[in-house]
Amino acid sequence: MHLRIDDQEIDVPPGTTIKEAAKLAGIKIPGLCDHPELERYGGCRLCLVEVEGIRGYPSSCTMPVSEGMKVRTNTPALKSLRLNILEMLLSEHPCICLICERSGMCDEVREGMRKVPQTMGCRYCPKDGRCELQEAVTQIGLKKVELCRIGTEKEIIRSPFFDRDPNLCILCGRCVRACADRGVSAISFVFRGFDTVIGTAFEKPLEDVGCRFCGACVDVCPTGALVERANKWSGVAKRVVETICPYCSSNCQIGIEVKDDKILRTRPKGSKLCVRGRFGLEFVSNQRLTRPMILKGEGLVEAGWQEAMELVAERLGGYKGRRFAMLLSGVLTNEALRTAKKFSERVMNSRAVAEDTSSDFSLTEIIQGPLLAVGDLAETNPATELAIRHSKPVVISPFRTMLAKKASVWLRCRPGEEPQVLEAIAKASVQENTDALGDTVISAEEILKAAKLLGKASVVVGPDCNRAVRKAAENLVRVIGGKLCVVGRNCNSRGVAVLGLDQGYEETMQSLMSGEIAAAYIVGSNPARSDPELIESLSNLEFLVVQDLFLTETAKLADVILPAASFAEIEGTYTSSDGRMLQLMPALSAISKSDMQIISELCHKMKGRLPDDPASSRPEGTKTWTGKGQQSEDITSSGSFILVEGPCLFEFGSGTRTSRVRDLQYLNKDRYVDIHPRDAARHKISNGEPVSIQSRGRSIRGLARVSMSVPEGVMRICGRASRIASAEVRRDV
Amino acid sequence: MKKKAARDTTEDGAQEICKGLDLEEGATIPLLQRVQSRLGYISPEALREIAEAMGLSESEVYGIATFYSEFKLSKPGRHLIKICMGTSCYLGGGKKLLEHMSRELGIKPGRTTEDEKFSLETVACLGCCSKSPVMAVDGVIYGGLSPSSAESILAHLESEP
Repeated sequence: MHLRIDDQEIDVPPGTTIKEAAKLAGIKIPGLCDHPELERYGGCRLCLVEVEGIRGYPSSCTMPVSEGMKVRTNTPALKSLRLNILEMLLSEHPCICLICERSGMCDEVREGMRKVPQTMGCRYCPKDGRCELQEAVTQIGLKKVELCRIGTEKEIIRSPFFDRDPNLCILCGRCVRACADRGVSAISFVFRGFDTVIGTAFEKPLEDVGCRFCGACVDVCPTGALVERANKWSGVAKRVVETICPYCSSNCQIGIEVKDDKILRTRPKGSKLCVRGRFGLEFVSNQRLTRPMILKGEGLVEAGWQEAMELVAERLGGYKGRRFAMLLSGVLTNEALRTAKKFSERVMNSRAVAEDTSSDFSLTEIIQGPLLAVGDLAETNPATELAIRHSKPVVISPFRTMLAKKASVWLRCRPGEEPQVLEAIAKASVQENTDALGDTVISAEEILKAAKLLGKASVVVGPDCNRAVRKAAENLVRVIGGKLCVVGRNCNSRGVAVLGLDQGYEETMQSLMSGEIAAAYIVGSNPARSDPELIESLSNLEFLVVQDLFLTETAKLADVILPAASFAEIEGTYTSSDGRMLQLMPALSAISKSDMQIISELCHKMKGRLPDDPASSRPEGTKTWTGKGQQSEDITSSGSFILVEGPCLFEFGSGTRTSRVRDLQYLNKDRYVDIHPRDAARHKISNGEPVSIQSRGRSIRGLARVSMSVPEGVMRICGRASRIASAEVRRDV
Repeated sequence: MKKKAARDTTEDGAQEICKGLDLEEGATIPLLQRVQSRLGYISPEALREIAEAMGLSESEVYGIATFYSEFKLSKPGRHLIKICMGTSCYLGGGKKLLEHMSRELGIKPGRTTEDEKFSLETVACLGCCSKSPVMAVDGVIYGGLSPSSAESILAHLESEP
C-alpha cells in the first residue's frame, strides 16, 4: 500500500499501522502505550497524527494505513497537543528531575540521594536511564510542567521478584495486556477516574490471584512502576550477554545484563520467558562451592584441586568395569556430556547414564498441524506450552491446566487413565469403536471427536508423564501416522538423547540398589533429593564423587566433591529438540572449572595408568528398582482420595537450583493441596486450612486450596514427578 | 489451630445464581447485578464464581465491578447512612458533618463498621437542598443537622438491639 508520511513516499503491506509505517520510513512518532508485542490500544494519545481528509487527530498506533493516505506527524498543532498531553501525564507523575535546570548535576551535590522511601524524581527512580517517559520528554521537547501536581501517595506494593509503585504508573495498560496475552490476567484496571489503579481482585497479593511471575509486565512497563527488586538500585547494565536459559527444554534465549561481574537482571531475547528464566538465575551466585572437598574422618573438609583430583583418580582406578557408574544430567553441556561419556566408556570401562530424554521434533513445525498434548506443560515447560496453546490442541488431563482451558477437546480422565485414553483414541481412529475406553470417565463421543481431529497429529508428551503414557503415545503415533514429541525435562535433554545417555538408566539404578555398583561419579544431578529411596544405596557406596555447583543432599554423601562452573560462566552448547546447537556464552568470570574441564583433566590423569579399552561390560540388574514411572500404575482406591503429585512451576527438577532463589523459595514455602469444592464441603475443609494426608504410611502436610481445577475424588499436591497413591485425608486440629 | 474462612451460604448462593443463566459474552454485568440483588453485595466468593462461570480472571471481574459505583464489594451494615455532598449541603456544613460521622463510627465513607451495624456513604443530592445539611438513614431524611444532632440520631439507632 502506498502512502505519504510527511515528505516521504513509502510502500507498506496492508494492515500496517501508521506508526509502524512511519518507523519504516525512519520517522519516529512518540508513544507510551503501544508495544510491538502487544495488542493495539491507543490510550496515551502521544502518537496523534494528522491525516488528510480525516477529521481530528487519530492515534497512529491503532489506525491502519490506507491507499494514498497523506499523513503529517509533526505539525505545530500536533506538537502543542503532545506537549499538553505529556504535561498532563506528568502532573500525576514525579517529574522534578525531568525539568530541573540543574539536571544531571545532582550526583556531585548529594551522594546518598537514593536513600529515600519514595521516588520523587528520576534520580530517585530505579528505572533512571531505562525509562520511556524520560525518552518521550526529550523527544517531545517538554521544558516545563506548569499544571499543578496531583500528588498521589499510594503505597508501594511488594510482591515476589518485583515491586509495584502505583505512584509511577501512567496507566498505559501495557502490563494488563501483557498479562492477558499470557492467558493469566492476574492484574486489571480497577476503580475508575482519578482512583484508577492497576490492581488485583480485592487487592490480594499477586500470588493469590494466579500470577505466574513470568515478568512479562515488568518487561513492558515504560516507567518505574514495575521494577525487579533484585539489584533495583544498581542502575544500567554495562553489557548484555546473550545466552540460553539453563532450566527446561524450551531453550529460551535470554540476555543477561551484567555489571561489575554480577547478574543485574535477565531480559527475554525473542522468547517468552517464565519465572525461572526471568527471575530464577540468582542461584549462580548463591551458596556456591568454590573449592573441592574431601571426606576426612567424620566430615567434609576443603582441599586443593591437586589433592582432590589425585584422590579421585587413584580411588576410581580400582573400580573399573561394572562396579562403577556415572550419573549425568540434561543440565550439562554437550561438551561435558561427551567428555563424561568418553571417560566412563574408555577410562572406566563402564557407562554413563542420565535420567533424561527428548525426542527429535521442531516446535514451530508441529504447531502448524493437529496436536494432542499429555502432561502439565505449563508447569514443566512454560514456553513450549505457550507456543502450542495457540494451536488449540486436544488435551488429556485430569486437571484443568492452562492448556486444558484452551483445548479444542479436553479429555478429562481420572489420574492414571491417560494410557487407556491414548489407546482408545488409537482404536477409535481406526475402527471408530470405543470399546477400549473400558471404565474410564471419558465418553464415546469425546473420543470420536478427538480421533477425528487427530489424523496425522503430533503427540506431545510432557516430561512429567510416566513410561506407560509414553508407550501408549508411541502406539498411538504409529496408528495415526503422526509424530511423537517427548518433551525433555532439562535444557539439554536432547543432547543426552543424541549421545544415547538416556539408555539404561533403570538398569543402572537397579545395580545401584542391589549393591553391585561400588563407586559412582555423579555430575549435575541430585538423586538424593529427587529419589530419597536412593539415599541408602548412595551412602553404602565405597567411593562416591559428586560434581556440582552446590553442597547438595547428594554431595553430602560424597567422598570427594568437585565444584563446577555454572552455565553463566562457561562456553558450550545445548542441543535443542529440533537439533540446533545453541551457544552458551560466558557472562561472569568463572568461580570454578567447567564440568568438561574437570572430567577431561581426570581422563588425562587416569589414562596414563589405565589401558584405553573401549570394551564395556553392561551390568545386569537383579533387584527391581521401584523408582518413579513404575509406581504410577498401581492406583488403589481403597482410600478416600486419589492423591497426585504434580509438577510445579516454582520448583524445577529436584529443586537444587530453584531452592537457591529466595523468592522462588518463598512461593514454594507452603505445600498446597488442591481439592474440589464438593470434596472440601464434604470433609468440612475450607480454603487455606492446614490438612494432613495419610498415604502409604507417610504423612503429608499442606494447606488446602479449594479449586475446581481438580476433579472430585482427587487431591493434587505440587511436588516432584507424578506419583499416584491413594490417600486418607484428615484435618489438622 | 483452625482457620475458618467464610465459606457460608454465600458461595452456594452464587453458584446457584450462575446456574440458570445464559453465560454468553457480556453476561458479566447482569450476573453481578443478580448477585448483588440476592446477597446485597458482591462477596469475594461470589466474584470467584462469576469469574469461573464467565471464563475470566478474578481481577478482570473485580475491574468491571469497581468501575461501576452501583456494585458494592463489602457487606452492607444493617443501617445505611447517606450524607449529602451536593452543593447546598456542602456549603451548609455537610463536609463537617461527614467528617464528624466518619470519626464517630470509625470508618471512611464507603465502608461498614466492624460490628456490621452501620454503612456510611456520600450522595450527590437527596433533593432537599433547602434543609441543608441533609443525612438519610435507612431512607428517612433528616435535615438542618449539626454534628451533635446527627449523633443523637445515631445514638437512638445504636440503642436498638
